[in-house]
Amino acid sequence: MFKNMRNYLQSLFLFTLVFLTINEIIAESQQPDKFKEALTIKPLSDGKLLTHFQFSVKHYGYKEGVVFSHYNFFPRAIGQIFQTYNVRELHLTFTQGRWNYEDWGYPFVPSAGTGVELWAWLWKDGKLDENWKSLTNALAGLFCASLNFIDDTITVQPKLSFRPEGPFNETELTERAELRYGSLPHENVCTENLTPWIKLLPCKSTSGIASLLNGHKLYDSNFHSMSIHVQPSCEDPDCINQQLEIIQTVSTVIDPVRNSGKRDWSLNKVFGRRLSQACPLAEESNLEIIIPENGDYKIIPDADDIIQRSMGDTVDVEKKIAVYNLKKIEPDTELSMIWNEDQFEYNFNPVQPQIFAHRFFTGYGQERGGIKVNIFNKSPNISIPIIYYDVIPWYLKLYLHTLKVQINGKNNKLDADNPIKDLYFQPAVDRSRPNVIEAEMLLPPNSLTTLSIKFDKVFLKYTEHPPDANRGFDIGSGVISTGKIDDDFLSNLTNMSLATKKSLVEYMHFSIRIYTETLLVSLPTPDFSMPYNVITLTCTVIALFFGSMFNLITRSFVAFIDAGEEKAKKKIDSDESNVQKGEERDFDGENFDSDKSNVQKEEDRDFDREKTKLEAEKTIANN
Amino acid sequence: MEKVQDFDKSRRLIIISFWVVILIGLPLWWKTTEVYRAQLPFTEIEEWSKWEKIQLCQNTIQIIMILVILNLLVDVDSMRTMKYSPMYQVTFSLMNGDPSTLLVDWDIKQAVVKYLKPFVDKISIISNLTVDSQIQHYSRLTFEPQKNLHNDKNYFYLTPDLLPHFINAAEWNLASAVSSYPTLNFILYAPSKNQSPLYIKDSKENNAFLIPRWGGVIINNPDQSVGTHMFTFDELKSVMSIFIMQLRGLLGVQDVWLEARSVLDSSINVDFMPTPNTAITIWELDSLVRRRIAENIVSTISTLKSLSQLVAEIPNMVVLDHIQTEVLLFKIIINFLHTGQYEIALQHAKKAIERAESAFFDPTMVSMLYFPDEHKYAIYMPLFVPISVPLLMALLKELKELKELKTKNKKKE
Amino acid sequence: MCFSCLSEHLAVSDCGDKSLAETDNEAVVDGFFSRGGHTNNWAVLVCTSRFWFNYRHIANTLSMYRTVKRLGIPDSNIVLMLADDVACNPRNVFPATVFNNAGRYLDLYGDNVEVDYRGYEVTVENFIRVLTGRVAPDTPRSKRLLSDDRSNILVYMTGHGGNEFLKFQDAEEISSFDLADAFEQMWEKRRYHEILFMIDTCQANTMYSQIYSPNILATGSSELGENSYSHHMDTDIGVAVIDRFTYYNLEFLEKIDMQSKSTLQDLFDSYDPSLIHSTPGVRSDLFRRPLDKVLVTDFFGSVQNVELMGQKYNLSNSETIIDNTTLSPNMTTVKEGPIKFEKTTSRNFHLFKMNSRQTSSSLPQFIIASILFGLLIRWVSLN
Repeated sequence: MFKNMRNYLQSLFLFTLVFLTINEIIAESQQPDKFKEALTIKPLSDGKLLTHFQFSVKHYGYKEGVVFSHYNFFPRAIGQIFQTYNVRELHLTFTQGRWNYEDWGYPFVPSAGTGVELWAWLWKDGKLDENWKSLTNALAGLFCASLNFIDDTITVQPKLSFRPEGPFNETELTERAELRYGSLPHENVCTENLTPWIKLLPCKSTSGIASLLNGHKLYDSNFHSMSIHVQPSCEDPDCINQQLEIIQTVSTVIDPVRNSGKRDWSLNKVFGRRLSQACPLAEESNLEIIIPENGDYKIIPDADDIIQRSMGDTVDVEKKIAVYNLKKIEPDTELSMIWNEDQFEYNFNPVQPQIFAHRFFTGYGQERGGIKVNIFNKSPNISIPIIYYDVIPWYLKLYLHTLKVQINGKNNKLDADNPIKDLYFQPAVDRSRPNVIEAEMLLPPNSLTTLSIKFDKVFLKYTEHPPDANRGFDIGSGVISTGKIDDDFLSNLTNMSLATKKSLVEYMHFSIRIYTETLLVSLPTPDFSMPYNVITLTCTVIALFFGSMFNLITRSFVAFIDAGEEKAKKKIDSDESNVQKGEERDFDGENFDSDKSNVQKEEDRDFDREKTKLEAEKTIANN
Repeated sequence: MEKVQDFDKSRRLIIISFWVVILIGLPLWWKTTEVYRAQLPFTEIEEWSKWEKIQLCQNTIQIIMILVILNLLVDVDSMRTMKYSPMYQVTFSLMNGDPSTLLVDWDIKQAVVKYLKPFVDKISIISNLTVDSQIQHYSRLTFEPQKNLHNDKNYFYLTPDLLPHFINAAEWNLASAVSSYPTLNFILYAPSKNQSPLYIKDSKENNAFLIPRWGGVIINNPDQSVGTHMFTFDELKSVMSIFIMQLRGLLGVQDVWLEARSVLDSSINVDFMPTPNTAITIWELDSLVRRRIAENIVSTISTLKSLSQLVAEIPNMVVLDHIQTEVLLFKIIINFLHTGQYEIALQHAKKAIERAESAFFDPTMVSMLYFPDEHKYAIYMPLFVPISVPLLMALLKELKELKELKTKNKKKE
Repeated sequence: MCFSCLSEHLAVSDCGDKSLAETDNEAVVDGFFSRGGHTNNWAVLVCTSRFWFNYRHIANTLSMYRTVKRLGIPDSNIVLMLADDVACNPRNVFPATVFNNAGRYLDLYGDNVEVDYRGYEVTVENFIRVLTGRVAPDTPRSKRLLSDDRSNILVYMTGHGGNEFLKFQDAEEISSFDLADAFEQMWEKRRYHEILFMIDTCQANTMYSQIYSPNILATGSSELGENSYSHHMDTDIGVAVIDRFTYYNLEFLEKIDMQSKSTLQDLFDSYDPSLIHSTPGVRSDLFRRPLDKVLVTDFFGSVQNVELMGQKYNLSNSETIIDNTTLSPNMTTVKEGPIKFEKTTSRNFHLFKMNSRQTSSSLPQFIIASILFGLLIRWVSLN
């Protein structure tokens, strides 16, 4: 019986163990991936329409250094690239068109300049540069773009701009990770880039808001920008459990006024497609319309909910938003907004954003020029710190001593008034690395700050020109990084001492980036169609030169005078000498002497000639 | 008189010095504009490709080589087996036809660790397998399966001739983004509700099929009524067992009993115990190792032979030094094969094939572009002809004068 | 396995045995890489022209791309090189579209296009690297031609050309000798089973005149001294949208589907010089098989063999499993039961029936195994 009891206890013990282990297993099993999608539509003040798609997948249980290889919503292609090349954060944007800050305000996510922009924080593992190179190649293959052109001549390590978007610890970051930035302003964006981007989404383009992404309408817009951001994120303030988040966004600015003259729009007109059902895998699937403050309009159908939220400008302002929950909406619902007006009238005094900038070339000709940046601070009484970042390719040689700053058109003389608080400058190395300017600046309130610098244009080698050389070369946009202006920030601004260098950067939370225009520079181009003509011309010159030189050094020039001429000359000479003798008093002795020496030379020559003649006769006689 | 003589002498010196420069410069220019070609041991490569010269005192390897060659007459195996690669990427994909009617998930991580890892560890001496998995939604087929009625219930079926077009490569994300190593894809397909249940006609084979040199597919019809389905660890056991069988076939593991059956007398009855844990028996592994050694050696030799032939045929091809070192290393490897343990032999055979492939596919071995002869004349003539004509004339004149002087001197005497 | 038995069987005993030497070494090495039929298809489609007025060359290449995709070649097996982007070109009145017909019936760009090399990447060097496989080590998979000795490859090139050369992006040229050398390198490394080389440029036939590797079939749009012409123009787009040679090829290929039995001889017979306005040529002296036996889908489509293989390997946690090697059809633990079908035979598809095995399951063993497993986890987590 005792044995039975013992057995019973043992089996009980085993069963409790089993239960405990099962519990532990369940506790350790991670939360599944979460997917959220949202479409935000905002009518802009100049009659255009901003549509912003945002998709985000959060992968739970992400630990640095621990590789996960079983994917659900999180796309496997990105996960593989991210983990193989030891990336901490990745941001890739494809843009065409220019964001018009003055008329449109700020975009929902920092847009980029035209072309492709790729920046990433990579862990230092001894082969960071190879990882960067492999990363660009792998992304080039995935997105059908020529990102592999981002090489040493384009890659840059910004010092102040492009802080990580996810949570980070500053000291840990500088010790363990490095930032790399590269941009290709001439890169084209088309359906072949959109297709693999859509394939990364869990529902692809079959359901949810992604079904509205139509290339024919997307690439017919005034501005479109497609991006993918992969970054760690935390849900709790102490960041014990990290997640890996992938955010995919598409922003487009469409012009309904172009077709009909009116601001009215509907989903079918804008996207060419109807909204199908919501993505069944999405936790949240919303459509939001940012309600314009004034105007006589109607939105059909009525919104499910109206909320207030701040829109991420430099100044914290809340706006009213109409929210539609797509999970509850009927499929094929037509959403439209109708304005009560016959024709749209442009608003010639739009509300301008706080900070915006324009950049342009100055100068003329193919030898030299200059770049100027106008940065506007439209806030009436706040000085705003910004970081101005610009990458100029190596074929424009910048001269740092020509860097000038002007405020409202006046050169500042005193150092204390100099808006530039800190300056990082990387000079270019030919064919090796580009110029980088990073200036930490404090913009005075209600001012126009102008930065200008001069450059010389380089004469490129024949093979370095692209096939369409007469188009010119593109220069990527300059980036102004700034942050949200709220009460916290303002109080910090007044408290801190502006003499300390790092203080501005520490206080700012960079989430707003303003991009200037991209520029097109034409460098002196040779005539590509005539290589043989060049060869022939050069060879002719060399041949003439060689021929003449050779003759000069190997031949002696002998003046040849025959017998009749000789007599005539002798007579003239004697006449001349007679005349000369008569005028001896008036002339210098030199003339007389030179005359004499001329006669002497002649006589010598005659003698030589006669000598050679005699010798020749001799040789003939001997033969 | 002396002036003239001095002048003559200096003239002669000048002409001679020009010609000296040309005579030295011409071969120098030829040498420096030559395509860099390191010397390859052509004769040795030629020798290796001749079978009998390889003195492999390895009875078994040589026999395996013959066996391998004979086995290749069995087309099925050779067409199914992947080409040798030191690394393979194995991807398990759960394809869901329509997530709006059925949400799926699977406990693949545990299943891989439990069922596949031992096999992967065992095979790692031949090739490394990296395993990952994904779930893809809205995985539609490119065609509509046919409908039929059985016991008052609708079912759908695919005829075997449609199976080659089953994989919708355009929409299903199957390729690996990071590696260029061969990929083995294993797909567990859950059809959408309006195509459920889906069977392969005439299939007694669990609705599964294998695509040679690509991977395998299993069509599974989970219960559609609930709206979600979780492929548990237990359910995945039967799925993984089919996948492992397909994986063995794709990697070239041959069933022991199949081979033995073909060789042994039919009167002998042998029972073979499978290894439930590692999914590959020692004998099977051994036979695979030997086969791979043989294949690698033969393929290395043929690669080197192709390399030497190409280099000989195309005179404009650059051959850098490291190509030479790769080839010379093969010699060392061949020597190792004489000693004879299988593992070392296999490692060396692996290295040999890797090095030979990397030598052949080295990015620097792109030959210079064809430059027609007329272009060469057109470029060099405008420079050299105007320069050479005065030089030649001067030389000829000097020679004539020298001759005259000689005869003059002769006459003097 | 009994090696001595085998050695008697094969009459080979020791190393250095001369009977081995009697086998022809060439046959041994060659036979190892036996060339039966092909098992996979690849396509390399190149458009070498840049600028808007060469819209038709991009349209040519995209039409061939659509055709091979429709006939079954997956994107992963197609290397598409387009030297310029016309779909999203600011001059394109119909953004994100490319048409090869003035009636605009079919948008060649569509929603699903994968361009592997675009813009400045389309160079002679990259083209030769793709063909010979000598790409830079970081090159992604989609930009490589990963063919083997059982691959049939379609190489299609279009652009501006001349006597034995083809212009790449108005900046450089590839000569017929370079192309022949590239194919020879592919042959040496057994990177193809058969190649169909199709070229649509001026004086196209000269481009394949220097090829000397076996198993290559070539066709071009015009003879030496002849130009190739465009077919028609779209007045809204403003430029010509397709070339004649490609247009008449497409007319034939549109009637082909995956199961078609048309041969290449039919395709070549359909060429009409009076319609094409130039003399198309065919070079088949290096090609082994007679053209009336070669299916069009051998090059334009994709063949995939399939094996029905569903038997299971006996995986279990327990050590005491007894295996029954019976040859009867299995009753598996998969949910649905097998349904009796009638046997069907198919033509271009190989059915290999493998013998099936039987699995057994037992519940008490499972429970014991799971308890032991739980104990193991607990012990590991405690340590």
